[in-house]
Amino acid sequence: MTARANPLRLGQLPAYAWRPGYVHKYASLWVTALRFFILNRPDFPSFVADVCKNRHSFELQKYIYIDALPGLVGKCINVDFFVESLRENRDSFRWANLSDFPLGFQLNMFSERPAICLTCMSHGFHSAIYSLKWFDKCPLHEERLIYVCPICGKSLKSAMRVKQKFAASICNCNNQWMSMEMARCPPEKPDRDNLLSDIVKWIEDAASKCWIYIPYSREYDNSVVGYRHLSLGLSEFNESMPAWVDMKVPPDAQFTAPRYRPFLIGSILDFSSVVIKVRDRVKRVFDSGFVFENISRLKIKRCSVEVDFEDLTGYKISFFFIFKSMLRYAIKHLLGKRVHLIHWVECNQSARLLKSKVQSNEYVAIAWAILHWMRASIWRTIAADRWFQGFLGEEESKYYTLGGYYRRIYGAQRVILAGAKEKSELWIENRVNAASLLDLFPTQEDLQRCCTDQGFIEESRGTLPRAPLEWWAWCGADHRLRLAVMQRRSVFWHRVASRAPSKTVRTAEAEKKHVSRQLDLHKQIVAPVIEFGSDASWQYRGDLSDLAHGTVSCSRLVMGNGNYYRFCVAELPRNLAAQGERWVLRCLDLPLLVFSSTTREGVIRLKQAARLYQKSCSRS
Amino acid sequence: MRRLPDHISSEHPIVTGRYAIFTPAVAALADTLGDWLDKKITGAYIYGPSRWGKTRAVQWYLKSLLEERLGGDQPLHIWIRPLTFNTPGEFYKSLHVGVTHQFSKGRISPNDRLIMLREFFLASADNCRTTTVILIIDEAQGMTTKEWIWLLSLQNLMDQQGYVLSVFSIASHQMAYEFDFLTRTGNPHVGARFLVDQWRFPGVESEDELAFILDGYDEQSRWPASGGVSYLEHFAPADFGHQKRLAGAAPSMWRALVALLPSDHEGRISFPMKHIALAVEDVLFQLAFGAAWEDVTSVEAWVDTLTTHRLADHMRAVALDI
Repeated sequence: MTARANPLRLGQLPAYAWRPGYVHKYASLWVTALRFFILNRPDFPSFVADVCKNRHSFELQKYIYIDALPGLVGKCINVDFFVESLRENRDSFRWANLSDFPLGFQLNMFSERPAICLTCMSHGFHSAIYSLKWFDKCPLHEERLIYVCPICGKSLKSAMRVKQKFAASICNCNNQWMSMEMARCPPEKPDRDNLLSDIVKWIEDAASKCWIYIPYSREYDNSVVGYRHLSLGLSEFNESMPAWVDMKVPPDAQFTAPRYRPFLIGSILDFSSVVIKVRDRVKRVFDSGFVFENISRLKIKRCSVEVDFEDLTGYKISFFFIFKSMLRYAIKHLLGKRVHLIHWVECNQSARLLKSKVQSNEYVAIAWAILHWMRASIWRTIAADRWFQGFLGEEESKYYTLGGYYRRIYGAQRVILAGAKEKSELWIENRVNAASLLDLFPTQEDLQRCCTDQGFIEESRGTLPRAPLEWWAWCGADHRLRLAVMQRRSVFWHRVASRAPSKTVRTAEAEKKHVSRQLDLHKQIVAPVIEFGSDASWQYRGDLSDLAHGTVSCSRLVMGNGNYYRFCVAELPRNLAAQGERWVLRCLDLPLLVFSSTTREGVIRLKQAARLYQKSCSRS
Repeated sequence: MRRLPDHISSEHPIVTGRYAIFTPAVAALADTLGDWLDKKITGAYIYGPSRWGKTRAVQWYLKSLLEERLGGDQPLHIWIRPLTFNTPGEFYKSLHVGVTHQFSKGRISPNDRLIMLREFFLASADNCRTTTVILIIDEAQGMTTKEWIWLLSLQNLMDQQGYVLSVFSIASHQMAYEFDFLTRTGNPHVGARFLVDQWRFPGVESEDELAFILDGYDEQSRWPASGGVSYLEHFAPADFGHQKRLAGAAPSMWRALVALLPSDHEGRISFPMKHIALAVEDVLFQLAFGAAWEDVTSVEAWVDTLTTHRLADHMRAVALDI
């Protein structure tokens, strides 16, 4: 034994109560963090400081996201902590949270709230896979998944926060979810791993057919998968679909191919649940996307892209094609270091509010969905922030992230945005602009070169027009995809799917409304009134039911100084019309009624009566 | 603080004092603890006068020696007891901080701390694939009955989970009376748990042992740890090149040590490791400043050096403990 210059640090043992090797395959990051919390009982700021590696911000120590999102360092659970400090295997976290899934799945395939199987939780296990929208039951136990806390009944959140000491909860109470024994060493279950590995295999397979992996900071997202023929992909997709997928076919779906299950694709891609009709079978998805739209009322300024396709049939297909087209554009430009799409929203609007707004308008929803899709790819990374910073030539970043959305307070717009502009949607004004996008959209030759040679388009950026424009893609009568720029003073949107009622229905509704209004006015006319009699006193006049006749119209009786009374005018029935009195005018705000031969005379009389009424009221 | 010669690094362990020399007493300590663990003793104490090198032995060598003897990692935790505690909260917090749990700070109730300590110890045992957790309590001579009882709670909690908490206390002479005290004050069960056996930590007791220790400075030490030279070679390269070794000066140093014993000293001869280390460090510095080898390793020189560090006074003070 030799002399020692360094003591044997007893800290060689982990400074936490933790047993490496018990993070099971497919276990979610949240359940691992929960186990850590139960065993170590840290106070929440210390937990955030160690597990999230955030030792600075007090604000962020109030809650943390249960997913490890690349763009939210310090606000979410850090996988590196478990790997480096607790000596866990990084591979155990391969499917631990949402950002580990293929990009398309990340966007729309997960429920907003975590889904939990109580039996799995009692065994110390939970998987992010359970939160996929398909599942309403645990694939292992056939038990209904819950989205609310069984103790407090509140919805589960996607963030951990401390409600009571030693309980980092995703609900509103002190639910620890599992026992201490299970937190120590959750048991291994090979049958569960096998089942989940089947699901994961299917997810990866589906992603390789329908989605593209964008080179990413994560080591296992570094493969770029080329586009596949959609119809071929769909057939393979269906054949390889496992039995546990509970397919729900929409009631209005019309499929000519018996095994065609577009709803699944739709649920992957469709943001606004608007379905676009495609006339014929799509053969060359590789090149572009195809949509059908009535363009007769659109004033076309420019068509930038035309792509051939053939043999279209009457499928209903979601936004898949447009997304494909736009995505390919984005990817080529992203990889070519020429990114032009920025998700730009107003800073004082929450993501939820924006989402509700865009969902109310199908067309804005489409634009939003495309932007959302773009954001789901590369913009979630810090790299995008840095790139954007460099693109704008700014040294210091002025924008920040909140709720997963990039926001920026920035006046002038000189980079390219995509979407739509409409007067009624001021929130998107000057923030969504497709002009530059269309200017820079590659030509057919460039696209082909990109797709075949995997090359990048080299094109000088130059000065870009930034007129307020709208753009849309549609399928022309010559079976070509067209992207157009439309300039109009008043925007009129064509509905892609005819969700709006027909003119007959609209007329019937208007007529019904008119009749209802007339009945209401008739009731008001025949209400009891008072008259200024010859003896200079007000007299009650009761039964006026005979007066209800004909069409009644409303107007205002201007009394000066900005005051007015509402009144209605109706024609007297013939049997009551005497001494040339043809019209009856009834004040709706005062109990006054006059007869007159002309409406002009009636208005004068009614005004006099109203003034008399006012005077008498002021006297009394 | 004197200015060091150019060839002496300010980070050298001799300069910083951050080093430990392996002694026969260290090996004996590890053997004793190993025997106790083999016998599944739940608690025992080691006593010895201060400055004998007990703490250094525990902190610098015990873990590796136990791992060597028992095979594999050992869940060894050391708690240096700072003071007497009046409440279980203070006691558990000190223990919690002492065993370097990451989340030991903050306001935590005693019950919660107890659970955190239990989980921490259980995890450390599981990580080492054993069911016995070793807790060394340094400066345990002042442990009160209450503190023993609080420690008993932790031991019982672990026992419920099927794990053993072996508590080994390191203390000075006062510990010898603790067992009787606990027995006579109605707490024999505490003594039966934590004071089952005892062992006296030896100092440097013979010339051979001293030569072994000095050889640690001559040959068995390395700085830097990989590819470095021994402490003697670093401080006196010329003398080292001329085959001068401190181990060769062990007889003269031993004579000096014996000469400095109190005149009325009876019983076994045992010297504190701390004073020997300080004397050797002085010699190394003198050699580094260019002193002649013979001048600093003579009996007179050793006596001077040891007197500087008040060995005689210390030996008089601890004579009763030896």
